Amino acid sequence: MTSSRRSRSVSSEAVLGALRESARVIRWGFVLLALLYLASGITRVGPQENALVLRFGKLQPQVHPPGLLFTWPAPIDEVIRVPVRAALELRLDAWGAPPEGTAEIAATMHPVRDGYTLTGDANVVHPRLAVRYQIVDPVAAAFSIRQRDALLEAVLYRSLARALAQTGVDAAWTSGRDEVRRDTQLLAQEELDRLDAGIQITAVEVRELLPARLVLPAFREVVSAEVEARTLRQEAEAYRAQTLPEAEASAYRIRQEATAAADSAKARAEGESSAFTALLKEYRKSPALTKARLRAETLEAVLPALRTVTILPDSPGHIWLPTTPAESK
Amino acid sequence: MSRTMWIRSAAVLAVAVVLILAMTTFQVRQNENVILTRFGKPVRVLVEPGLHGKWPWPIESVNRFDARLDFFEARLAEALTKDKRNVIVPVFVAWRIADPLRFLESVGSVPNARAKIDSLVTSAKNTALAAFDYGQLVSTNRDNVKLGEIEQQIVALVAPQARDSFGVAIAQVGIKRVALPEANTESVLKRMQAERSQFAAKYRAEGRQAADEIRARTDAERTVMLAKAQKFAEETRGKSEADAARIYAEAHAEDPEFYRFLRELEALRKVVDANTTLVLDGDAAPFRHLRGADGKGDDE
Amino acid sequence: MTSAEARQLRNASTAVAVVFALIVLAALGWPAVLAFAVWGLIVAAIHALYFQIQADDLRSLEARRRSGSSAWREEGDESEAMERYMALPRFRSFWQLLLLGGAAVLMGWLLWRAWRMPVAEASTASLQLGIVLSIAVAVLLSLLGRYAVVLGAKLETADLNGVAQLARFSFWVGGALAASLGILLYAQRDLRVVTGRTLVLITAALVLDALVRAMLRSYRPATARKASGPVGDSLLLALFLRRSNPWDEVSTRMEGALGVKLGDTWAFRFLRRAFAPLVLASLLLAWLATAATVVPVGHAGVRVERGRFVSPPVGPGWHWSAPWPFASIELVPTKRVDEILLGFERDTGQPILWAERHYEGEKNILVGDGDELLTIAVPVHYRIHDPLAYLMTTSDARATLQHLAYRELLRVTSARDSFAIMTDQRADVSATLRTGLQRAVDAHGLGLEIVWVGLRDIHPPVAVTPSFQDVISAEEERQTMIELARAYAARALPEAKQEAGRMRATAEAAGEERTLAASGEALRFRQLAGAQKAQPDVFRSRLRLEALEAALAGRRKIVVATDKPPRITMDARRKTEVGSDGEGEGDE
Repeated sequence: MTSSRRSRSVSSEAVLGALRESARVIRWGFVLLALLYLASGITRVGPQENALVLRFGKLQPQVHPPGLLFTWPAPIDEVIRVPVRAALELRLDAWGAPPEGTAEIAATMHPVRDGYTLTGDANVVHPRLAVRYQIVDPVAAAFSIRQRDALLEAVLYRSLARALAQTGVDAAWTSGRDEVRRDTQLLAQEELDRLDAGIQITAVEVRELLPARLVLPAFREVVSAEVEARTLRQEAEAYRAQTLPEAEASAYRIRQEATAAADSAKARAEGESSAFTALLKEYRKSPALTKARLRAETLEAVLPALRTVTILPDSPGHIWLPTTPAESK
Repeated sequence: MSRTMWIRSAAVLAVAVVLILAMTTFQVRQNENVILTRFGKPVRVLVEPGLHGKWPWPIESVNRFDARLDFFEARLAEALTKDKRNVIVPVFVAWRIADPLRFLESVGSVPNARAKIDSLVTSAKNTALAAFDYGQLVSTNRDNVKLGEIEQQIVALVAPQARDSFGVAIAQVGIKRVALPEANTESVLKRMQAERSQFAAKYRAEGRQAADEIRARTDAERTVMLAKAQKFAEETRGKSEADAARIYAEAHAEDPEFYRFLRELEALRKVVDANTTLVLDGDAAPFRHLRGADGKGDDE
Repeated sequence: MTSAEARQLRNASTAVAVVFALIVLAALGWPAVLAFAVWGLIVAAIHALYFQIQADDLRSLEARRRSGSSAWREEGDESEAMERYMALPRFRSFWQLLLLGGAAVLMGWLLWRAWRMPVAEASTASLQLGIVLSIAVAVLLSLLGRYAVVLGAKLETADLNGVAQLARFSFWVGGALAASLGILLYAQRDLRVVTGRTLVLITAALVLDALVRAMLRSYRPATARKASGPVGDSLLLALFLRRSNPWDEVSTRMEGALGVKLGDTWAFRFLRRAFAPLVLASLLLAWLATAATVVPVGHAGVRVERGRFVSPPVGPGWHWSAPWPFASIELVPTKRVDEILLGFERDTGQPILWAERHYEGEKNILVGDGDELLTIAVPVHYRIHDPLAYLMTTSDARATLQHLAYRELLRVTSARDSFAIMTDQRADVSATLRTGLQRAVDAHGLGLEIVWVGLRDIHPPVAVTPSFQDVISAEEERQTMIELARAYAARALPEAKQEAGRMRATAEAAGEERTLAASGEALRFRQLAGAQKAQPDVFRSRLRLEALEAALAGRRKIVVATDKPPRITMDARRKTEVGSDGEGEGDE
């Protein structure tokens, strides 16, 4: 009995000692904790952020710019940071075409597994979009929508589907791409403003707009047909551009030649007629003499040119015509 | 000693104050609605953010609701249009709690509310779609596309029911996409292919036609151009010949006989050349002399 | 601290951590069974630890005995220990104990399966098996407890008390499980969730107890620590399973743990004396508390006095009634909107595509005067309109409502055409359905208000859908054929047009060419003709001469300038013309 009492007093001493030992450590620990608690109200607002302060849950009117922000600690103040200046980007890839060359090309499209939407002329298309946006109203952004990003995405998909549903695939595929982009942005912005999302869409970019993979070759075929047609037309134009001037030139030549020939004929006629008149004067003076002279002159000119002259004897002769190797014209 | 006592009692007091405050006050956050119930009986609906007082726990308790827009996608369901075509039109819903007390009484929690709104929206969507043709979902004529009207009609069908039954305001029902049942997509893809092949053929043929037209026109123009030139040439030639004839005529009229003589001489000059064989009578004027000297001996 | 103690502490903390993890799991969903399995583990671990320590001590003892026999004889303490060691041989194997624990866990798992089953699916056989298993485990553990008690008495040590208590407690747990399964099987009341939660709470308390004791032990001097009991010696268990006054137990335990004598304080003495009245008073209070009921928001409270419902029902808030067996207040959620879905048995959660299975057990409804089949999913939102009627009429208003709704659905749809139901008569059908259903519900006095009836998914049966959708495919194919024909037209027409255009252009050009040529020639002729008129003779002769020149110049010819025409022989091989006609005259 005595021994147990003694041991008890020893053990209680030990407990008290241990408690005393730890008291100081505990006290400093408390002080440290208190300091940490007070410091928890100091917040750094990042360079691309604005901060809103809720005091007892009530929004304070001031919007705080980047820098250090001193507020009361937890249950009194709450700091909500909103990335206002940051250019945020969202990619809409859920409807994108499967990458080429991966899986085999399916003949059908499953409404859940395959992302696509329909264009105005009921064609299956795979669009991919990149959307850049900015938060312009931090209060609305923080307090109007619970799942802001998810709703933004859904609204964008909706606007894209609508934009495509009123555009034919040919337009969407080529010239109307820009229109699809603009329609998407306008529709989405209108809806976001209506929902008071505090978001401004700065740019929508159509990164890809492909028809279903099965029909992609057919689409490419159309493009090449167009190119081919254009080439044919251009070739024809080139032919025309070459042929017409040529024809014009030869027409001009013909005309010129004709005119020249006419002129020369006239000149010749005039020359000849004046020569004739001169000769005639001569002839009138002595007709017989002139005639004989002229004939003799002619014969002089003509006879030397003759290669063969046959003079017949009195009796009617017999002429063998010589054989010439080739008769030149 | 008294200092430590003071500190100690201050600490105890502070803890007590904090505890009492924690039990008798509560915050309503900016985006929250709160219903305060006393022994289960709703006594106050608080929409104004800030600090409010209440009786401690077992007496009064706080039911908080997020007043922001909640968003969810309704379950995908196939539907029928007015012209009996199956379409798959997924919709999403954005809604918020408009009447917190009714919300608390009728559904109580967000997932529960979503399930019920999903039923409402899907039924309304199917009803709304049955009033529109397929051509009003997708069309190349943008005035025909009635997706916005369908959305509004769904909201109009759902909103009163949702407000009266659940105290919920429907902010938006959005049609996320227009798709078709899998079985139909095969023929749609085939049709697309046919459509494309038509375009390809059309472009090719048109190109060929245009090119050919240009060529033909060019050739025709060339022919005409040359013919015109030829005509001009003929005309000019004719005129010049006429002129020449007139000139000749004027000159020759003075002595046609002489002219004929001269002309014949000229013709002779032109016609007689190296290819001409001349056969002469030996008795003719100059050749007589030849015979006298040479030809006589020969003959005799 | 000796190495054995260090290990003991380490093992204890590990065991506590494991137990905590399991409790978290238990709170997530499998309450009772996990609690039971945990108990198997705890019992096994504690036994293993205890006997391991003993064995370690004895092994070192034996080593010492071998090193020097003199020392061994002098220490009476050790001979006593040796005696204990000899008494243990039958039950000292660590593996035996682990096996026992493992069996407990396995049975826990088996029980878990019986536990998780929905009431509707739990077969009699499986429940009976569960009961037998629980009883078997309980008996096994009770045997273990008895063994520990006997062993402790024989060795005159309190070290085995903890083990014995744990085992005895486990016996009660097993019994409770068996009882709740038995109640489910024979009395059709499902107490499993209640038992499960209770067991989880108790387990948590015991773990907390163990933790506190482990922490306190570190404050004690080494000697006192050595004297303390083994792990598993729980204050809570001792309180309820020992036959002494619980306050005495608390007092001695606190002394043992902290070295503080509680038994001397005033409060303790008062509590010790007032224990029985206190318990009685609290029981009385608990009974009186049944007189107060809090009706939560959205509910109505219906007073039940001597088994009779009393009108009017009370609203949310605090209400008094006579205490429990005499009166009570039943809660009815009058403002809550509930939903039932007609048309299928179970929802698979898949998207609702007509050609794919999305509901299990879809019900086909005959429409269009019995010619057509449709499956219709109809959500019905209702709330309890009259709580008294609701409580009085039927025990399962939901099932009744479902039957009524099916009947009403058949009545409304059977005469209508399937396409009309699917498209333009939807609103009409749902409105008619709602009024009809409300009338039926009122006729049966169910006390329900039909808030809304929708027509969610109406479609032909899944097996028929492909042929249904085929119509649309055919429509698309029609379009395809038209497109193909158009493609042909687009190819053929321009070709023909092209041919025609070319021909036309060529012909036009050729025509114009001819005309121009003719007119040119004509013009020329006319000019010449005009020129000729002045002197036809000269002109003609000139022309003739010109023609002659053009014809004869450069030709091979023979001019015969004589009056006596010669005989001319042509070369046989060559043909030659003789120009004797014109020239003859020209000369001379």
